[in-house]
Amino acid sequence: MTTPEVEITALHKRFSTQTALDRVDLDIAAGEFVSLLGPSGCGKSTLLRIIAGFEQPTSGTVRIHGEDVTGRPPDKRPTNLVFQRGALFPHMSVRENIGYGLKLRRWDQSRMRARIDEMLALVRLDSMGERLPSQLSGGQAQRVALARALACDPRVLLLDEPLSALDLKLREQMQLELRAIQRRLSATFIFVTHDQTEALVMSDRIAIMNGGRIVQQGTPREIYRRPNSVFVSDFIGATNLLSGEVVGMEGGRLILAIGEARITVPADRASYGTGRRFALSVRPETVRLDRAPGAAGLAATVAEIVYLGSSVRVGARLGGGQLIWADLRDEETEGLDIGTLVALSWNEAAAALVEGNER
Amino acid sequence: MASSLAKPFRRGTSPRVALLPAGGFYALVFALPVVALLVLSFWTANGFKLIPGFTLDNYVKILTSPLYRALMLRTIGVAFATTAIVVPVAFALAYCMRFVFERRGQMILQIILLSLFSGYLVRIYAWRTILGKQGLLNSTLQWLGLIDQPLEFLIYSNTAVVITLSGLLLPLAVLPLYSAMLNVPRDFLEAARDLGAGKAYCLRTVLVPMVMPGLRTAFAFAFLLSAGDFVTPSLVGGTQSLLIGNVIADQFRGIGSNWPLGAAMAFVVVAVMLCSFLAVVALIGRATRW
Amino acid sequence: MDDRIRAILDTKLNAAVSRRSFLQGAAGMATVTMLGGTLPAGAQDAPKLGGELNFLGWDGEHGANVAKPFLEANNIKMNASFQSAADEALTRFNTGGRGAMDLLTPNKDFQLAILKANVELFQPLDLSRIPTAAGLWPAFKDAPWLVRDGKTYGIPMIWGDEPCVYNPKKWDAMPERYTDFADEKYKGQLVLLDDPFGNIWLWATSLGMPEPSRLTAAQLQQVVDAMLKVKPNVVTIGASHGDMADVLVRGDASIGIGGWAYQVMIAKEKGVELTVGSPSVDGTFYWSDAYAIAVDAPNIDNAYAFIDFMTKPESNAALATELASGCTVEAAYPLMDEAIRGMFPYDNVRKPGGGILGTQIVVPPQEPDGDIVGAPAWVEAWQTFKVS
Repeated sequence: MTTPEVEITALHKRFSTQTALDRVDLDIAAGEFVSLLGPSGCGKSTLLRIIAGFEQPTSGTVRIHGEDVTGRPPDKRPTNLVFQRGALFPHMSVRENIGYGLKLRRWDQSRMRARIDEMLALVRLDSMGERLPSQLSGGQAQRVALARALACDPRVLLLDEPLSALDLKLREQMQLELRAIQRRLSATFIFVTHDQTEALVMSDRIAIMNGGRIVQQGTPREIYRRPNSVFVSDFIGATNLLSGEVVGMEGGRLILAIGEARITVPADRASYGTGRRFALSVRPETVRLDRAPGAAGLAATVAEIVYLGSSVRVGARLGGGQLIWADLRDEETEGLDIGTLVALSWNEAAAALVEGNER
Repeated sequence: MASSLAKPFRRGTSPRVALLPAGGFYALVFALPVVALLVLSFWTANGFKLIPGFTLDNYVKILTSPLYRALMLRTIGVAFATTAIVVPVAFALAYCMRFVFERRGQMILQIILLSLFSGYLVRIYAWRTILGKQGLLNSTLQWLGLIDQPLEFLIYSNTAVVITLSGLLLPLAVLPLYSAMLNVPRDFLEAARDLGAGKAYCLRTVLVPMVMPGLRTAFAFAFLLSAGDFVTPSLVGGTQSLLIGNVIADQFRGIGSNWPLGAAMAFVVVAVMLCSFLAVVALIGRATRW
Repeated sequence: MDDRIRAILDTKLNAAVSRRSFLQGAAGMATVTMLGGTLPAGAQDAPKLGGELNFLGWDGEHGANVAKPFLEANNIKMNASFQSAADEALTRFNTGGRGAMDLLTPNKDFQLAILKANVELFQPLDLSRIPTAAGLWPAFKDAPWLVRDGKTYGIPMIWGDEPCVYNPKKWDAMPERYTDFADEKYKGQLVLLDDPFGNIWLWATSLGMPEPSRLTAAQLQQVVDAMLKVKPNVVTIGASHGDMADVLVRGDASIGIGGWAYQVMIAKEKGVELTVGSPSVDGTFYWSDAYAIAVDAPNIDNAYAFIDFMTKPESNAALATELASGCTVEAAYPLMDEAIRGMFPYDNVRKPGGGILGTQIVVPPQEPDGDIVGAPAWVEAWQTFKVS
């Protein structure tokens, strides 16, 4: 088994008033694109800054490529950081910005020139070399920041919400570009964001953080389909959370009570004792509505119909009062109206059982 | 309507109209007296009477006098020495206030400003108390047993003038530097460090260029104000450290006043100081080229 | 010493030196108590007073506080402007002031120079309109700078001297001459006053010049050279008498040349003992200021009444106290504060003929006179001395 490129072990960071990181462990393989995802204050930026060397952990270690870099200042680490607002040196041209780190390493002129050309080509800003940062648009500036960080060929590239300041269209475009560059260079990227769509689009793996801890790690698909907690399922994508109680077990299946209704799920997925409260996460796009009288599924009454353009989101209320959303295609909602009686069902493989009522 | 909100002036009014109030005030209060003084510098005086005319006598007298030349050199020397102390200390102080103390830095700023409230003359006298033969510094050093006799060079000397001027001008130099640094987000310094720069390299190649206007202002305050000062040398300079400002001031005061000579001296000083100032600023600019 | 007097004296101590004349402090001192609200003598049969009174002289000698009851009782409005140099009066007189000036306060040297040169400025005084003038000290009744051709041109109101002020613990007495201060033993002990005329005069006297206030260029250079020999011993040059006192009190210097007796008071307060004394052979110089009336004065009645009022013993004592100087009226002497009285050598003024005040002339002529250099040359010499 190859040594991970980045090993974070029991990293703990305490500020005077709060704990920012609570004994975090994380391994990142070489060439991986890993996103640190979470709401504000979850500790993702702190973690990134500790890896970069701008903060010192209270305890724990950071190893990069097998070396312990925990005590080292940022200028002595094989990492480079792309800042949220670029931080391009305003008194230097684009070329000078990109070459800043190279000049420090005393590269000779021709080698430096070649490298800068290479970087400019990589981020597709070939003709902008002599411009000053003030003459660049937001997107161009971020690309220069990327080029500058990559010019020194770091082992790990750290990105601190670099696309947050860009508008939506540009952001989406940059997401794809970043991903393409990372693949092309086979580089190791650690990307911090609070936007779950961004993380899903770009990452090989996502580490979701909350309250200073990594609450779940996995590929985007794993995270999306198998959230391990209310928090994760709520944070990633829209979902229905059906809460209820375990009332029994039968033939390898758990019997769950949601209000008056009863459903069963395979027991192997989680161990829940009788009486245990649970939440079932069901994505709206997996819910099916059946109008035929006597159809199988949970009985519900249509309470709301929301037109989303590409789909229609229908909210149906269960007997116990809980509202369940289903995303349907426009054609499927023909004739559907408030008050229509329907039966809700879903592919049980798509539903995930998550821990109690923690939120 | 949006367009009328955006353009407060009627179409066709040049934006230069907006400059009139400040420009007019400046012209009246500054430009006019300076021009009057310039004209005066070409006149002569006899006793208390001014004799209008046009003569370069005053300038010739100043430029050919070894006494004034020595005085000018001493003045520039003192100004440079003061600046060499004030600007680095102010820079370090502003840096700490901005990047080390952050929010508490604002409070430190208030304390620094407070020192400016206590009148100029009072502070000079305070330095007399500190540097005097039986003053605070000498008494403490003697009490600690480090010296037997009081250090005489501390007061009524060039040293005293430089120290006192440094104390007086430090707050004025910190202000523009701190203000300029407030506009430098921490990101820039971190980016430099991240790319491999050591602390010193980072300051030299990123921070200093970014606060250059503030640095120039701090330098101007320290250099020009100390070069023109005459109260400090007269109170703590003793007999060996009178500066050009003292001589100019004497030309304008009461008995034996020779306004034309004083005016001419003032302009010579302005010219010399300006050249020195520009030279040093250019030097700093070159030194911080990365 | 009375606190109010102290306040006035303290402000005066720190006024910049200006022709050895002291500026009045800003504190309004109620000297009314000393006067008891007196009216000018013979108010009943005097001509009708009232209207304006123009004053151009030294700040303080217009007696804002002392003359207040007089001005109010007679409805006189005083328009006071202050000069910073003695010749300002002459300049103003010649440039349109004639006919608009009433009271002047020349110092003795200036007045003497004007009278000698027969320059029109002061009008002869009708002493019958100033009965109180009879009460002046003998020295001031017929002093050479006040009287010409039997006519009196000025009524002095204050006088004083400028001795050395020194630390008695360090020095038993002052040396014989000012030039003796060049000796090694005075190194780091001297503080001078920023006054060109006084200092040059003292050293010129010390060198034995026949007329210390009239020097040729060569003589002036000699004086400056002698002063430069002393300069290494000088710690600093005080901007004012107050600054000098500060230096002496701190112990940065132990001898002040051209000082003022009041500095002793100040030092005593701060627990430092100082005393006055002058070189035994050279001595020091004296000054005196007088009220005079300008030629073509528009409010001559008011002017006479004013001078008569101010020469009353009570007024004179109050003014001399306020300005920390010697009084000129004999009967004012017992009315004065003891501390201020003790500062000045009154023996000199008990003798007629102006005494030493008459024989001493400290200020050089304004314009060069043949070989003799004028005031501007003295000022320049002093400036050169300062920066050498």
